[in-house]
Amino acid sequence: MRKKILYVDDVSHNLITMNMRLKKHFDIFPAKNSETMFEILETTIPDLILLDINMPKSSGLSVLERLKATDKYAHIPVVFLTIGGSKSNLLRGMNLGAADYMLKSWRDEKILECINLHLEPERQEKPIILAIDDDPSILKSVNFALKDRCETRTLTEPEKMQDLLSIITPDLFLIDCHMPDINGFDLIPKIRAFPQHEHTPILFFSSAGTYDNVSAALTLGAEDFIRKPIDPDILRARIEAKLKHYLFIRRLRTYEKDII
Amino acid sequence: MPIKKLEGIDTEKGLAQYNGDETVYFNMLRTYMLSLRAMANAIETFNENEIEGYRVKVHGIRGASGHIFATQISESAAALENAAMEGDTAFIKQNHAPFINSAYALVQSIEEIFASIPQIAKPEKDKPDSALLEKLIDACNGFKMEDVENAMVEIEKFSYTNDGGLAAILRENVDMVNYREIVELLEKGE
Repeated sequence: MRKKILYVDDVSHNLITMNMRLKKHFDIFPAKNSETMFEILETTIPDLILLDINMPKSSGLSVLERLKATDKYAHIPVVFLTIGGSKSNLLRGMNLGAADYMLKSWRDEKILECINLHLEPERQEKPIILAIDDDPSILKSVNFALKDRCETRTLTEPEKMQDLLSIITPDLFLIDCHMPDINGFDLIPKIRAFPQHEHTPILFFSSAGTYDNVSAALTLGAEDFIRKPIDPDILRARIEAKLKHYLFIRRLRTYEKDII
Repeated sequence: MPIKKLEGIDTEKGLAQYNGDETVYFNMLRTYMLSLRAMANAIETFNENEIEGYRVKVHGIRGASGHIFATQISESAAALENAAMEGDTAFIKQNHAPFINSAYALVQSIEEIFASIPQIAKPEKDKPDSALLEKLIDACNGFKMEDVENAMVEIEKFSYTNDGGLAAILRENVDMVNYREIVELLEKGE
């Protein structure tokens, strides 16, 4: 069964062009404005929506907001299309629930790759979490909580972290504050010394969720602080939120030259 | 080939984008021409009180023109878009009229290219078959883009002696993705 893509763009030439580029793979449903988009949605639930950010009357951002606020459409992945829109708009879009963004100038293969990534999320590579704690039972519970969404690498000996970082590139660090031979906070500069980890989120956890601990973690550049014992749902929710934001920003950086 | 002489568009790059397929490229040029004309019409006069709407329109021209390698128009549109974002109405007032004129000039050049292409003789009919028009209505009602195009291609396999220009009007509306208008027009004519 061919997948359905609803493409919303006020410029008819763009609608025709995108159909030309994608018709071999998908059925394209064109909408020149949000009214037509909602009219199509009454009868056809697409597998993905491509949404132009810059449209007259209602901008892509306000359309996205309406989509995400409507239960029966909220699950549909929405990918923004831009010719080089502003970074702040893209970030706002991400916060409103956009799955991704694409540049209209991308080659067909790249556009296809991006669309397929969101049509078949199982094809997406799982993000890698590096969890560091001297207590293996904590690491087990972290792995259990995250196993469906992330690939968790665990380390009970923090002194081996630098060697491990020459082999793997985690997308997020989860570190115990207090370990026998090293303070978890001391790992921050060691992580940041790797250029690829200049912005990688670091989350701390500790059973001592005191003001001093939390403040020290956040002041040193940690993204969040999670209190032990770990509640698997809370851990998953917080990590997913941080990862989503970070991975989106990382993609933005990759194409920064195209963005205002 | 007349297509190679189109001033304002790098047709070589454009053609290469569609693997040298002139039929596809001509279709793209035609839809670009219609979109450019519609967008230029929409902002023919610059209204200071609707600067955000103006920005969105020149943004649209910038994108569509860039994609078809109409570089000069695209760059002029980008400059006006930036000015609109910064609220630089003096720049817009100074550059808007030349921009619109160059957009219309490009539209005219593309129209002339199409007018110069010899028409292929087609079998004649009085009017488009009602079954084909029904097919077009169904496709438009379902917003099925490829089905709409396929129905239109079927209609265009003939030239019509007594359709009052209907086939041409339908083609323009298909290219402008005006599906609701097509349905209204055809249902009104029944």
